[in-house]
Amino acid sequence: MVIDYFEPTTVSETVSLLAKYGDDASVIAGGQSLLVMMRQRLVSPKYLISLKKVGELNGVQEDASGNLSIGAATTHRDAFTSPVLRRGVPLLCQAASKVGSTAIRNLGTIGGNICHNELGADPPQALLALNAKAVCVGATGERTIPLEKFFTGYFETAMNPGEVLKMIEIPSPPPGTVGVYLKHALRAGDLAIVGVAVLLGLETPSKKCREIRIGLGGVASVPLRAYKAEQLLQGSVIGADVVNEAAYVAMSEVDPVSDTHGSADYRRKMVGVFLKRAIRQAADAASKPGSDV
Amino acid sequence: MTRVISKPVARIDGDEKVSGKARFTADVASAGMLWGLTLRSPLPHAKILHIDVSRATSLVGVKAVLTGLDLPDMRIGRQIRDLPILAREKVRFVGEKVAAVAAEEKDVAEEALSLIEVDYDELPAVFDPLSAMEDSAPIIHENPSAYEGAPQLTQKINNVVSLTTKAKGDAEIGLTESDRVFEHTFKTPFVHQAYMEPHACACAIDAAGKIHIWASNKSPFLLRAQVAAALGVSADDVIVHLMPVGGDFGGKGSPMDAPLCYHLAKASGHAVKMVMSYTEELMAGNPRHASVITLRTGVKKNGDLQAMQIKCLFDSGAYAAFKPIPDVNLAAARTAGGIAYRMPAIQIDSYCIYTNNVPCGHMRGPGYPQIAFAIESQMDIVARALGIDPIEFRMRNLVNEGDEPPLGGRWEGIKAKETLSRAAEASGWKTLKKRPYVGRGVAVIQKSPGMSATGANIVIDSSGHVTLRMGVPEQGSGSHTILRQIIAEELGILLELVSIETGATDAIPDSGWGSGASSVSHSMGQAAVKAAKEVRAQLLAEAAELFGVEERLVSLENGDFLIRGVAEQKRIPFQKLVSRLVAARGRSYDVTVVYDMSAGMKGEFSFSGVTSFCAQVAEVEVDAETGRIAVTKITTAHDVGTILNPMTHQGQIEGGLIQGIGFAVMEDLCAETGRALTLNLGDYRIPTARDIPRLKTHLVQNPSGPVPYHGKAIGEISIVPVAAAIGNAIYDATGVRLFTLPFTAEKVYWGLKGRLQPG
Repeated sequence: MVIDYFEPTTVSETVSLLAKYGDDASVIAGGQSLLVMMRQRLVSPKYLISLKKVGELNGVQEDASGNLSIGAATTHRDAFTSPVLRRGVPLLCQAASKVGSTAIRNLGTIGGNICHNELGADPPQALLALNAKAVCVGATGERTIPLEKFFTGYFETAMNPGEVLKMIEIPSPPPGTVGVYLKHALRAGDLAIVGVAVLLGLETPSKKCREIRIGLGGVASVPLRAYKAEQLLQGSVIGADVVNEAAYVAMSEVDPVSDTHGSADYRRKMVGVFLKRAIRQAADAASKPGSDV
Repeated sequence: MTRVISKPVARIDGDEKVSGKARFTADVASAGMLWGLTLRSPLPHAKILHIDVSRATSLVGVKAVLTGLDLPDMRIGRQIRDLPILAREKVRFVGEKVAAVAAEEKDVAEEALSLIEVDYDELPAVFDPLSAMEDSAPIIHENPSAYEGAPQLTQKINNVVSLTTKAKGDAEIGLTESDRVFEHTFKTPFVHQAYMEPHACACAIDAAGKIHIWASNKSPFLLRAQVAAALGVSADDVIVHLMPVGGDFGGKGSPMDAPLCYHLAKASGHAVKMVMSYTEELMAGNPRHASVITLRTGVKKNGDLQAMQIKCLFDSGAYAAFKPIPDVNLAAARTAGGIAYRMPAIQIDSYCIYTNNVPCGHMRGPGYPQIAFAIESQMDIVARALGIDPIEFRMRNLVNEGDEPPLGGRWEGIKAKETLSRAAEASGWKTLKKRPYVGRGVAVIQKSPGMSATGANIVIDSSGHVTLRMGVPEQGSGSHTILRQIIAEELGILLELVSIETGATDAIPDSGWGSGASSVSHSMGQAAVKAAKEVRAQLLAEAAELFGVEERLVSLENGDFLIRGVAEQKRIPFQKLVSRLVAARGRSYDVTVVYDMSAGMKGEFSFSGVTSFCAQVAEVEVDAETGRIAVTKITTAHDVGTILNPMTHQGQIEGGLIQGIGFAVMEDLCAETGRALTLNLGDYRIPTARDIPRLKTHLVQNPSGPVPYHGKAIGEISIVPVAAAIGNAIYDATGVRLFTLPFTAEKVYWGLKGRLQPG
């Protein structure tokens, strides 16, 4: 049973409350993950610390070099409607727009989504492909965790007890790269059976792949980068053979499970299908000059 | 020419429900009312060795803790009484109630549950009906035929609780005389009704010892009888207060927690309320029966159907208590799921089999969607094997006026072919160009409404206000709106002068089985007509007397009494004259009638032989690389009588279609291992607004039904053919035939890869 509810206004106040109440406390932003977990009795925090009034956790910043920082409490809707993000990291906007339903996107936050780390979430693989970093604050100070080290297992992250996610940093993507996010779900609004994020840049005029990053979700205990498939594509001219081979390699990089959304075998096959589609779409878009999709 | 009948009159309960003012059972509250919660079994089959409730009992705020041993050794059920109120010697499914707590706060009740310790000794369990029938299968009930209300079986098969056989001709001979015989087996999963309001009830015992029940229940008089039987008291000692039902779809006809709620109230000395969580609903509600259906069908080379053998294995789950009809089977067994073809010989054997799964109950058209999925899928297979267009094949075999129905009896006003033709034309069956991975499929069925004796009471007070008092709760179909239209129509007055009142079972006429089997507009509708005609006759007679004229010179038109035969013809507003009449007679008008359909099967209210047909064409587009199915359009054609309210009528058609789409492509409690894996409405998928395709309805006029003004039933029929139509469309699009619902992307994908998933 929840005994008390706090509404701190700063990150340091939040961290103090977390230090005070330890394991009995949980932060709550949009509540779209935590409240479900509480309802199912998977967690039963006694103290809820709302992040709603912590101003530092809101908003999107862009520096002179195009590096971005996104407040952890930015909602999915605010993310995909943000002009700055649409210009800088449209890949993330595509993923955020595919989260759940309108109601969930209006309340749920990007930070909450990655901290919850549920199988089949959408933003994590896009953020992985964008080389994002998580900035966490705890009693001992601030630390930055690259996203590929952030996700550690089902519903688990590298954050320590007492830490709160402050923001997500995204280095400016290489110019001319194109992002494509594709999601396969059984029903509108469901978690992804497979979510594929591709960031791709081509050399001109050779059309060789100069930048390729692939984030995959729903297909292993954690969202992951398909490094081997990336290696294969790096420096190649994007054609049917190399794309097929990359898809084949990516299928070997994942380790899916079977659940009510789909079998492990099917998930693995779908990695191949959707990776091919995403690469083709991204390559088509990148070949058209001046089109940042 | 009717005035308010056939008009799209807005729902009488619309404003209240949309604004949140409507009070449902969970809103029932009184000072000192306690929360009741149950502890459920985590095991599918186990002996209960010991239950320790001492820590729960001593928790502050806990007013009662009960286990099976605290209750009389009685079982409950709608027909067969095989379900203990709380488990006694053993549990038979995951979610079975083992203990119950009543406490001042819900949180305290929850904590108390966590303090109850149960020692189990797990037993071997069985989760599919085929295995359950084997000689070596674990026995779930030692002696089911000994239960009160049990059907008596001529042959004993392990775990079979009910076997219903219907036959016409000799199907075995028919098959041997056929040119070709096709055999296929189809499977359907457990699906939940997914009403918005979970089961809820409250119980209070008054100073006189009367037991008051409030419940989300569609059959208040059956509930009264069931609760009385469960408690061993007289029905007069139980008063059921009618509540609006927040969605039913067939699932709200059982006592569910009401008997337990009484025992908690009795043990605690307080009123108690119990509201199931949705997790409890999905784990231990009373979902649609899972099924395994095997068909053997014989045809002549020319496409004439010769014979069919249907073997239905319905997974009853651990108890059969939720099945209401006397044979403890599903009504669809008696009509072979609404098969609408001329059949020289046919036999259906419908088994209900105990397993250690969730006990199943009724859902919109009980048994119909399962059997229709099997038959109408196989009709497509047969047609294609014979090289005949699926619609031509059906047209060739559908019943004509004068034909004997497939399972015998008599139908009149048959519009089977007209209905199918309309669906075919409207969907452009012949004209649409075929694109790769786009397909169309068809299915056609018939369904007639059920019947029960129903009472109605009309009161007209001195202000001229008319109240229909009756015992069918509004469960979301719009029935109260239609009844109001009927009364206004019959009395020739404005809708605004008519209200509908439900009240409690000690003060309203018996409504039989309440809402169910697409029968309310028929049964309660005819009762309302009968009551209105009677009160109208009284009004006219007394008005004639008042003015000293012959009765034939008095009429009621457009809200006024018309009195002719006096010096000057008088037109007197309804309310004004009623006030005078009530004053003259010294009391309100108060008329109670009973409409008994089985008694009224001749003459004006002819019921026998009237059925309805429904033909549907589904269109799908399949993503060949992923198997993902997009249902892009459904055309549904119905033969209909007079439509009492086009808005609620259309709501029933589209609601059934959407529920049918869910059954076809996504719904599955995934409970084959005794544990539902989908314990919230995120995991248990029903269609959302974004999953609904274009729905086109076409009506074939056929005013010949049993509903007042020659209307027909519409509540259940549209859900029945959907799955087969979609499955046939998937085949048309891909060449993949799926025999197991739901049609997930993954099943289509493996089908396209030539590797069908097992099962």
